[in-house]
Amino acid sequence: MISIDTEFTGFDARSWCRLVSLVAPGAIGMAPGSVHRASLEAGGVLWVIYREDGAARAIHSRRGVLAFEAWSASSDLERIAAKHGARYAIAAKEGAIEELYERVGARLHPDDDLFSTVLLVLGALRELIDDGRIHTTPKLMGAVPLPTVEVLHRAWDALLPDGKTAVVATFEDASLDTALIVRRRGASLDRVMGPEALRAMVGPLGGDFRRDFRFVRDGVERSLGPLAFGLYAETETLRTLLRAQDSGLWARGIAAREVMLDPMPAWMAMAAGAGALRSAVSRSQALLEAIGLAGIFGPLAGPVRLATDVLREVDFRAMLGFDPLELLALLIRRSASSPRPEDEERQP
Amino acid sequence: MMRFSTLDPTRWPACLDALSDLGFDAVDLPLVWREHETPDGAFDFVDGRLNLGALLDLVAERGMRAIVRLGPTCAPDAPGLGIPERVLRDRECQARTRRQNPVVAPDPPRLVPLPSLASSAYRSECARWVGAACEALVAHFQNGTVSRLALGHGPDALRREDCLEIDHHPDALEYAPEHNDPLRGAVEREAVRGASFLEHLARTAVDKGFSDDSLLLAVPGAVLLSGVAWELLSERALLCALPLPEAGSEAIWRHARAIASLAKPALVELRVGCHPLGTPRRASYTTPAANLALSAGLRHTTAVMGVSGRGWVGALLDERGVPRAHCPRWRALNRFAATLPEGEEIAATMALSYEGVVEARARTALRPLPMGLLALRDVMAAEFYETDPLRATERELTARGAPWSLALGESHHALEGVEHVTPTLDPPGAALVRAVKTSDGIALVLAASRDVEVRVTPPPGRWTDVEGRDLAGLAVMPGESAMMLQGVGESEVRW
Repeated sequence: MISIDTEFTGFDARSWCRLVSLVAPGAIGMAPGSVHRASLEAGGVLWVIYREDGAARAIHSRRGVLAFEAWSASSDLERIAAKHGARYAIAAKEGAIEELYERVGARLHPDDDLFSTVLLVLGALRELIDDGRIHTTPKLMGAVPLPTVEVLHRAWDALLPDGKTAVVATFEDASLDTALIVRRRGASLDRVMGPEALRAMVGPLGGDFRRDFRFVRDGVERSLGPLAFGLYAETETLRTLLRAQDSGLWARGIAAREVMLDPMPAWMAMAAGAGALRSAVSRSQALLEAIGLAGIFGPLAGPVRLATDVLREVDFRAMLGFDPLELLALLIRRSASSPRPEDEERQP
Repeated sequence: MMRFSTLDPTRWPACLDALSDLGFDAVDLPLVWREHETPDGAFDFVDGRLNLGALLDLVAERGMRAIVRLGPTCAPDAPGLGIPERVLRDRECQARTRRQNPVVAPDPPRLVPLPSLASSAYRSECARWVGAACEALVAHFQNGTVSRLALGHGPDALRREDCLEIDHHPDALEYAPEHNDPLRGAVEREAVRGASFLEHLARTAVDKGFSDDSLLLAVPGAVLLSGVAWELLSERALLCALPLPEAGSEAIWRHARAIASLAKPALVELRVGCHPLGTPRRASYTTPAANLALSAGLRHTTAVMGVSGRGWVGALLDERGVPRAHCPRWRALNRFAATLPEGEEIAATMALSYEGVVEARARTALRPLPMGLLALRDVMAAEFYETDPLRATERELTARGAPWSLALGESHHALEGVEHVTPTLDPPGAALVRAVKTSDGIALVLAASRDVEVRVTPPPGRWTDVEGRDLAGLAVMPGESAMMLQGVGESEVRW
């Protein structure tokens, strides 16, 4: 979790964009000359403000103000978004946004941290969605249960304990491509550092991340403190894994040393292992059904399914109430209409 | 911009040298109120990273000038809007919603109460800060090191005057607009109160020894839609921002043309890098935006961020003052800027009136919207671009490749008299054109507006490139500009 005292250093524009594009390619900006072409492509956000009498105004984030038919029902939002090529759409009854602001302003406390603030805003937004005054497509708010602040803090403590650091370093063509190093002090991160800082800590690397990761680990621990976890991979490998629908790919990547995890905390091992088992079970079941042997092993299907479900429950659901890897993959796939920044890859 | 208070002071000389080497002749120094105010309410301008005098001496040694920003909000990477926490939390200083709740604004990673520009308590606090800072600076102003002083909230392309648009602080409601029409009344109230806040700060600075014409007043939001800008632009030098790259070439061009045509000499921000919690942008996105702004006629610009030690990604220099990989592009931009022509504009003129601003605000799709949501860059960019009443005329002129400019007055347009400076573009409308009558003849500046190569055929007559070689045509690459010149007496066609 970040705070107002978190320092961001060691990133140039290229390495930051490379890092962000791993998880949110659609968030990357664009050059002014590309806007015209982007307006012809699918994507972007559609905003609709409608009145009681059905009159509405709409604006598309890539196409500007739209000539818009009258608003009839929230069930139309997905169709309207598709018609205008928008990937997301938000419709709000006139006055709903102001009401959101009133509720957030009334409930916000000056000392609220990031978790509390986000939950406060999402809670107020959900109230208005439930009241039928704000509508979204896709229905993300419905898909994600809101955890409590305590749950988020527990997950945060499990992910990165106080005083520990974490590093993600990706490589391309035998050199460091981008990196993220974070250190937690107290409740939040005090340092967020990029590849420039990592190079200063570590010095020249040999070019094979399967060997270099040890030097990275040593350099980070020497400069910042003990590592809670470290992830090292080729950039494209990580990009593929983050978008994978088959969660067993992570386990296979680790086994094949396409991804190095060092150190590997317990939750990471559990997630990777459970993902492998889940993947193996689903493939086995499909195979059994395909060759008509499912009936023979029918009595086992229940326990196998139960074991899978239990494992799914144990992975993250016990901590957060939902599987963040699945949600992340969903959002990345949805955001990935913008092709990864393949042009001028070596340019700043 | 150099966020000196976030850097090791031993790095200041290297940073200044590097910025000077890149072609910058002045350094933009924000004084962040929050950083300089001590816990006991005094102000520190001398200790360590806050040592203003030492820094300004370094600036003077290098023959550079300093433009100092006092805000109250002056640096995009400063937490808490740059305002002391005690002021942010003071209810008397806070903008209010209709139900008297605080109006909140994004201060990543949190939300903070927005100050009310109408609040007498807030104005008093601001004046105290500005006064103290001016006392610390005035000697450096008198010796010429500090050439300009910037005051006000922003600018930031993501901010509008929403603090007044939805501010129901009792002090804000005291002002009763002349007009019964609620929309016009709201615009008028926002304009008058916003301008009066800035004038209040300006008077404080003048009382402390700064001259009126050394002041820059920061206008939040888009100049073309800002009632505050309208109140000030013919009388005051402004500090402005441009739309973000995602607004598109034409939006950037039109705002730049508006500032160049309408305002007294203004200082305009050009974005380099981003806030870590903002939209990530590569240098190849921001340098074309800067190229457009310069080609459109802006003469005084400031790169935000030149160097920052804590809360910015992708500044020109890293935290040690070492130039980053994209610096050669900015060096080239500065050299390009030095070659741009000066003189009388030859353009089809569109006039913009106060009625036009009001009309544009009336047709904005998502007003009034809180600042937090307007911070969604795509929405803001698209909305601002579409609501100007002269959009259709501008579209037509751009498609023809004709240069145009803006003037103040009752809405009208005069589209004649530019045929001799209108090139043929292939594809049509893929470049933005500016024509200047210089002492040596006519100069055409062409800036590519799309991500395709533009083939340009000059207007009738003899045209040359900047080296004096005859031109039958030229190509402008995406993100770049080109110039063609016609010498005095060399036109084959008399208009």
